[in-house]
Amino acid sequence: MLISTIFEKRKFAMTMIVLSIIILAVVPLFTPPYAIIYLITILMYVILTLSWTMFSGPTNYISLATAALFGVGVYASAVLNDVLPLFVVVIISGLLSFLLALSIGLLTLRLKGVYFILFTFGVTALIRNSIQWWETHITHTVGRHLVSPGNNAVYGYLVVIYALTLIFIFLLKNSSFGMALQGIGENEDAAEHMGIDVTRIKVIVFAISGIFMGMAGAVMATRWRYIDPNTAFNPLLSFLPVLMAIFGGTWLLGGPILGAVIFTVLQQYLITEYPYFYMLLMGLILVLVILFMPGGLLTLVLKLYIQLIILWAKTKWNWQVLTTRWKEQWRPQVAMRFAQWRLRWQWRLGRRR
Amino acid sequence: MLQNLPDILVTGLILGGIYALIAVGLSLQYGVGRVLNVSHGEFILLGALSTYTLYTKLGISPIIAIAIIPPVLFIIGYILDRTLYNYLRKKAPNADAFSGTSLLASFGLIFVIQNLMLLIWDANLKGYSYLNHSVSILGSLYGLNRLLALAVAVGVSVIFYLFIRFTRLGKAIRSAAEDPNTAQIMAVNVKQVLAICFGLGSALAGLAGILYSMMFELAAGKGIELTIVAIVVVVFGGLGSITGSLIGGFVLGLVTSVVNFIDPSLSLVAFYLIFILLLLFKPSGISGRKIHAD
Amino acid sequence: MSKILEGIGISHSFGGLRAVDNADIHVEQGEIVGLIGPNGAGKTTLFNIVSGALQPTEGKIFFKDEDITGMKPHLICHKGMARTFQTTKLFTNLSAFDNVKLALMFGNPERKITRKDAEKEINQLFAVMGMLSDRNKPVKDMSLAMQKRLEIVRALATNPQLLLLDEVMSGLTPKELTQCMQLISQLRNRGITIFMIEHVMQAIMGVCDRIIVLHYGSKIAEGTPAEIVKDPTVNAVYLGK
Repeated sequence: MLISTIFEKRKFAMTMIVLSIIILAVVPLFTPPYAIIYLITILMYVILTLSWTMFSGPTNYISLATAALFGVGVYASAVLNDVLPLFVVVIISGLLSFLLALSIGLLTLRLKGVYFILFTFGVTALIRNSIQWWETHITHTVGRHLVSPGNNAVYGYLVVIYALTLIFIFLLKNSSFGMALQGIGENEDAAEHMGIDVTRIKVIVFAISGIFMGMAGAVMATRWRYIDPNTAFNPLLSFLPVLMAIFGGTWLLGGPILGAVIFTVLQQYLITEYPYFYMLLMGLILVLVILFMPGGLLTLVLKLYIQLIILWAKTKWNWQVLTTRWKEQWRPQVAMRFAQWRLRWQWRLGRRR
Repeated sequence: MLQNLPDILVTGLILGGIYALIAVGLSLQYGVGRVLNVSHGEFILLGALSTYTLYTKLGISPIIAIAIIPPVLFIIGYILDRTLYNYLRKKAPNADAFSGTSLLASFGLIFVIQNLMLLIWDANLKGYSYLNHSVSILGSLYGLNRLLALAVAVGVSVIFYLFIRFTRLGKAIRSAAEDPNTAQIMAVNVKQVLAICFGLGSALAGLAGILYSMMFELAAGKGIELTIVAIVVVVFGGLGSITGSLIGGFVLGLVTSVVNFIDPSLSLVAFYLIFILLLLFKPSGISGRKIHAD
Repeated sequence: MSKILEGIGISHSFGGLRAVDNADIHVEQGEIVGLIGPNGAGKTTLFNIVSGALQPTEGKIFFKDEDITGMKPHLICHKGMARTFQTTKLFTNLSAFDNVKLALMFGNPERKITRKDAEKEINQLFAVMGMLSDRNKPVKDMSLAMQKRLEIVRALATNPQLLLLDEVMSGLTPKELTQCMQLISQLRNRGITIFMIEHVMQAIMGVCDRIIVLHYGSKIAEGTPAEIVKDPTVNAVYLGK
């Protein structure tokens, strides 16, 4: 879909990025103080979804380790909370998550994609169990408290991390590395035969994606103020970014952001109204999105937009032309499609007898 | 520890049987249908929790449940494959695209099924005791329920092994698991065969769940751990090798039993250590089969 | 002339199936060598082993006198080998230009290529293949013949000394066939050795210096086109006489 390059043109992307950062930085001044808590949650999911998409989007290597990489940041932050200033803690957490992602990548990305997916699936549970064991038997401190620097500071940190993530993705997409990554996702064999060291690129990008997750985790730990292995390594945090990215569409910058915003809002609403029901709904939505909307919302919107543009070009919104079109082309087309569909089901049901 | 050896052995064999059933189920679904069913553990738990309810609320013993739950889960799995995964198969432009979408769909299913279980049962730990009186064999005491679980686990595994090795359908399934193109050439109705294999996998999960419920406490969130067990055993046995999953199940069952003796909370760590070692040195598992040779 | 490619005792088994059985092959520098055999004879498997996509279960491969057995494909590519694929493996989400650009940027690690130089070189490559006007087309809109040519351009961008072509001639019209044969000769004149799998007999006989015949994974014959046509084993097995 090369028409989409309108939206991928650098200038458009750059202005949108800068605009979004400015809006985010300025919004708290105009909203009531409790709204900032809402915004913090949204930003957290936006960062996680963007980081996830950075690697898993173009390569189609589905990472289920987001919660682990995020949780490492949370825990590092809790351990170092009264030892180092938050600024340093955030950087260290980013580094630790980088190392974890690097290890996972080095272990699995030189093999077929299945292994990566399977390994990342359980790694969150593994780390959670290990830390739980450690804290129960060795340090005897299950659950830790943190001092918060205040919601405004938390928000500020997240905006900065968001900006860094977005800028990195932008630079990646517009570099030959980004193109190579896409090539790897399309046809890894061909990419390798063209001289691309596929393993190295995959490992590096995956490792870097962990940095932003870890940093976000470090900041969010101070917001929550109390964490234990179960809240830090919550499997939901592996699931939701995937849902948000797939729903939004993984191949444009805006897709993951849109998906994250929409679903955070949805989740916040559902979690208060139907606390036992909402995860069921989320899971169902993911299945439905995979079935009927695999390109994501943004793809759908784009296709619609293109159809509208073509229509405008042909008819210029002339009412007469439009009505004749409806009578002569669309209505019979719809009728024929429906008749076909009905016939197919009649045949299928008839065959059973 | 030496005096505990027979106990460790028995536990190991029971666990091994359960693990073998779990792994073979996953292997069937992945090997033949190429579906990475990460919601497998939820099916196991579903079987386990159903057994619990059948016994505590309706008085139906787990032995009878063996005739009820696996068939029900077979039907559920069959329908799931005929509708959801078949649709994805049709729409996918190539095999890689399908493996991606089917994984994501299975991932979504985890949360659907897990939450259904949370709604029907609650999040508390449950357990029941069935046939808890002990029996004396060769001077040591064994719980009757454990002996029963052992008999069923080992019995079904042996029967399944004979089935897959020596019957025509079994050999067909085995070769289809190794080379999916064969399934297309052999099967008259490919959709049917794929759905049957998926259903069979779910049925085995249900059976494993029944045995699991006899031995352990249940909680609605344990599905993921069970899936991890399935994954490690399948990788250990070799992705796509059904006999590998059988053997791997018993080997890792014994390993878990030994680790449990030392410290039960370390079993997941031990599993992952084995996983890591496999990835480092022999990702193709003990059967050494290379997946998707093309 | 030296041997640019040599394979000694190459074997590969897929589980119980022996796809390549103790094959000894070699290609001299500057030659155009054809690899023929019935379907399933192991030709693409052999290519996969040579290009590094597969590891042979037995045997060794030497490229420019260096042991490359088991080396990863991207390293082999850097050493000067490139290939096309039987079913074209192009990046359909990128334009033709970008497909070649990727190959240029990553296939020549010793050089630092600026954007302008890259554009110039890529345009040159397209011109050589007669595709200059199509270079910005999306891959999806290209005909099969053009896609195959694009794969060759992409392979050439990595500056290879040995080019492996996997059935580039299948599905071409007679005119396209002649053009393709001319192209292959031109490539040889530019110093590129060619090793090609083919089913189209006209092309093989017309362009190859030497032919290797594979059957059930073993080499059953080797020689000039004239010799192969007369070889009784080949005739029995492949040419159907």
